[in-house]
Amino acid sequence: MAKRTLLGRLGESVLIVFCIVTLNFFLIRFMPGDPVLHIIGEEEYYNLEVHAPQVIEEIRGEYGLNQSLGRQYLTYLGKTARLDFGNSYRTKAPVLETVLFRMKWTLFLAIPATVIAAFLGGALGLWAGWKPGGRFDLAATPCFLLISTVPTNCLAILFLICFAFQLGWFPISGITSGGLTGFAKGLDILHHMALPLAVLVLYKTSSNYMLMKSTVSLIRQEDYVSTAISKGLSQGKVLSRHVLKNALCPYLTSICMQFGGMLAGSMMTEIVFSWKGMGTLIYDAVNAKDFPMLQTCFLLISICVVAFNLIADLLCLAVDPRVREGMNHVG
Amino acid sequence: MMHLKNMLLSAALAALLVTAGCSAASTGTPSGAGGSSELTLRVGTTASADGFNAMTENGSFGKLNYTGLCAAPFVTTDEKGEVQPYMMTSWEISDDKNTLTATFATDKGVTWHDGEPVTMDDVLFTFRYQIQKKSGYCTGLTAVEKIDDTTAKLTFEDGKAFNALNSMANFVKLSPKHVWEKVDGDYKEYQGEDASIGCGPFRMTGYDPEAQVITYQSVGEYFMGTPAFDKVTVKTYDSHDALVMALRTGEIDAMYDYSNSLSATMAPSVTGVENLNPGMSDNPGNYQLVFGFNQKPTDDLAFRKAVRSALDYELLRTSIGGEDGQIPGTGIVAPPNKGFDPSLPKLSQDQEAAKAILEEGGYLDKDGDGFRELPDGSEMNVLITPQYNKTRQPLYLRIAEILKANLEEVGIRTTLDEESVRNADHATQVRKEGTYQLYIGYTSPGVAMYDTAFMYIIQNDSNPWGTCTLPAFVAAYEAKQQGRSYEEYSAAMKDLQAIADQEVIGLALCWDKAYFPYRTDRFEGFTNIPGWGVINNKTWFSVRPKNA
Repeated sequence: MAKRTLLGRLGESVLIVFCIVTLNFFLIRFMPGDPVLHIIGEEEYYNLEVHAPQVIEEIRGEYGLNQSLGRQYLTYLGKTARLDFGNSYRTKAPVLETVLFRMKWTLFLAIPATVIAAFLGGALGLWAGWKPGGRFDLAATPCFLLISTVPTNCLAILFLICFAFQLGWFPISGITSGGLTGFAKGLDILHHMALPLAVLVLYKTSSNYMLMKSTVSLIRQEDYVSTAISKGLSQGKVLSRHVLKNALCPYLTSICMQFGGMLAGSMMTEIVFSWKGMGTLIYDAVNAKDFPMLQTCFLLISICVVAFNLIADLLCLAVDPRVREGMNHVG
Repeated sequence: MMHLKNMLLSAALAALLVTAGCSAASTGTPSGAGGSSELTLRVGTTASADGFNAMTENGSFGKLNYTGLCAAPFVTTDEKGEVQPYMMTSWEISDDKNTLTATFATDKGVTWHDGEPVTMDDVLFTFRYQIQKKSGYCTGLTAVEKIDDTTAKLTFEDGKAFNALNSMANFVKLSPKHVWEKVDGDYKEYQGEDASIGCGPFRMTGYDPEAQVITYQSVGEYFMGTPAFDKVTVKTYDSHDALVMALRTGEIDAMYDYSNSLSATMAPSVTGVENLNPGMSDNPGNYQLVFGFNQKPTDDLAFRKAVRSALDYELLRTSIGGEDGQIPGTGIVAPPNKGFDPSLPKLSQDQEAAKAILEEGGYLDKDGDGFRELPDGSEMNVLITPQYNKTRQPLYLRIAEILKANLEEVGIRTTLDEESVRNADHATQVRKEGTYQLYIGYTSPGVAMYDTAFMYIIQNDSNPWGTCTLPAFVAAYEAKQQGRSYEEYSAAMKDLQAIADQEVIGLALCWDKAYFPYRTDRFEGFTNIPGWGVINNKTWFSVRPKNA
C-alpha cells in the first residue's frame, strides 16, 4: 500500500514540475521589454530602431521570437526533453554550463548556511521553548524576532557597510579576489564567504528558532510530557525521547523546504555581496529577458523544491509512526 | 540537559570554525591586482562579464571595447565629441557626401593579438560585414573598395558619409578576417578562444569567473603610444554602491560604466574623500519633456508656451541633478554638445504668465471645477507618459509628479499614463505611434553627441521617435544630418536651438552632471570625457603611475 502511495506522490511531483515549467514558459514571455535589445546590444539596437527597424525583425525571426507562443512552447518542450537548453541570449554561452557553474557557488553558500541554521535554530528553539519566560527566552526571542522581520537585503547591507566597508574586516564583494590558487584561494573564498554566510545563518536561524520554540512550547504542555517528568525521567531524556521526537516532524519539513528553496532563496544576499550564484544569474537573466537562461533556472528550482517536498514526506514517514499509521489507513 | 548543551556546543563550534577560517584568510589577500609585481590599472564596472566575443557589444568586455582597449576602432571622439583618427588615419569626403576616401594604419606595424599582421583585407572584411548585417553605425554604406594597401573608398547613399563617420566613432572596430572567415553561422554566437582577438593596445589574457575579473596585458609599443602600465583588470560589481565602496577602500582605481554615471544622490559619497576625485563632468545628455504634435492641446504653441512657464525648474533641477544640476536653457541641448548656443535664455517659472497665455489662447475654466477646458469647450485632460526604464523609473515618476502638480496649479488637468509605467511594450507603442501628449524621456550622452535630443522630437521617414513636423524644424534637422563638416553641423544646431526657443518643441528639464569617480593616489594623467568618464580611448596612452 505504502509503495503505491509513494508512486502516487512521485507521479504528482512529475505533474507539478510539468505545470510549473509550463507556467514559467508563459509568464517569462509576458514580461515587459524586448529580448532583442540584449541579443544585439543596446547601442546597436537603438541605432537599428532608428535607421533599419526591419533588421530587428529579422533578428527576432532568427531566434524564433516571432513564432506563435504555442509553437515556441512545443519547441521548448522538445528541447527540454532532450536536455538541450540552448545558448544564452545575453552571453551566447551554453545555458546548462553556466547554470551548473553558478549552482555550485550557490550551494557552496546555501548548504552550510542551511545546515548550521538548522542545528543552531533547532537547539536554541528547543532550549527557549522548554523554558518559556526564562532568561534565555527573554533575551533571545526579541533578537530573533527582530532579525526575522528585517528584510535579508537590509541585514546584508548593514553587515556590508559595518564589517566590510567601515571596519575593513571582510572583502566588499565577490567570491574571491582573483589571481590565487590552491590553499590560498580556498582561504580567500572562505574570507569572502564569511559575511554572506553569517547573514544567511542569522536569518535562517531566526525563523528556525521561532518554529522550534513554538512547537516545543506546545508539546511541553502535553500530558505525556507531564507523565514522563512525574515518572522521574531526567530533563535530557524527556527532551530527547518525548519532546524532540514530536517536534521534529514539522521542523524537518521546514528544513526540507529551505533546502528546496536554496537555489533561489539567497538571491538578495547574493546580489548585495556580488556572490555569483544562481540568485544573481536569475536577476541578470530577468533584466536581460534571457529566456533560455530563465527557463533552465526555473526548471531546476522547481525540480529542487518538488524533490525536497517529497523528501520531507519520506522523512516524516520515517520519524513519525503516526504518519505511517495514517498512510496505511488511507491506503 | 547535557544533550542539549552538547548540541548547542556543536552548533556554535561549526559556526566558529567557518568564521575563524575566514578571519585567518584575511591577511595578505591581494586586491584584484592578481598579486603580481606588474603595474596594474584596476577598473570597476557594473557590466557583467558576458562573454568575450569581439563581434558583440555585450557585458564588460564589449563595453570596454568602446574605449579601444582590446579592439581598435576606425575612429574615436575627443572631449568635444569630434571625430579623431585611429585605425582610419585620415579621410576625405566628396562634395556630394557620398564617397569617403580613407587611409588606414595598415602600414604601422600593427598586429592582431595572435601575431598576424593587420592588412587592408581586414579593413575590407570589416566594412563588408557591416554592410551585410545592415549595421546601424554605418547607415547608407553600400560598398567598400580597395585603392591600395593603405587606402580604401567607401561609398554611401543619400549623402551620409559624414553622418556615418560620426555614428561609427568608438563603436565600429576592425575585425580580423583570418579569424572570422573560418566561422560558420552567426559570428555573434561564436565562442572560440580567438573570438576575443583584437588589435588594440591590450590583449585579453584571462578571465576569472569566480572573481569576476577580466585581465588584459599590454602589447607594449603601439602605433598610438605605449601604455605606462602593464596590465588592466576589469572587475564586475553588482551595484554602484558596491563599486563606490571598492573605490573608497582602494580596491579599484577607476569606474567605467559606459553611459551609466553615478546618480546625483550618490555624489556626496565620492565628494571630499581623500585620494578620490568624483570625476564630475557636464552630462551631454539630458532629461526632457517632448510635446506630442499629433494631439490636442500639445500641438498648440500657446499651450506649449504656458507649460514652459508653469514648471518649477528649481525643483526639477534638484530632483534630477541634485545640487550640481543646472536649470537648462530654452534650446534644450546641454552645454558640452557641439553647436551649443549659450545666448539663449534659461528657463524660468512664471505661473501668472502661464495663466495669462492660457486665457489668451481660449483655455478657460467654463464649468468652474478649477480646471480649464479646451478652446472648443470640451474637457481637457493631458496625459503624462514617462519613458519605460526600470533603472530610471523612480526619477521619471518624481518628474511626472512635479509636472502634474505644476500644471494643475495653472488649471491644467493631467493624468499619469500608468500603463506605460508598467508595460514596456505599451510605452514603446505609444512612442512609435506618436499618441502621447507630454512625454518624459532621456537623451543618453552617446545620442546627444551627434544625433542630439532633437532626434526624439522630429518625425521624418527615417525616425520613428518624434511627432514634430514643423517645416523649419525639419529643414534645420536635415541640414544637421547632412552637414559635411562640424561648421555646417554647428550652424544647423544653432538654428535648431533657436526654433526650440521660439516654437517650444520640447523642454530640457535639467542639465545635470555625470560622475565617474577615480582614485588619485596611484595614477595620474586621466582625461575626464563628458558622459564617458576617465576610462576612455585616451586612458591607455595618457595615464601613468603617480610620480613616475
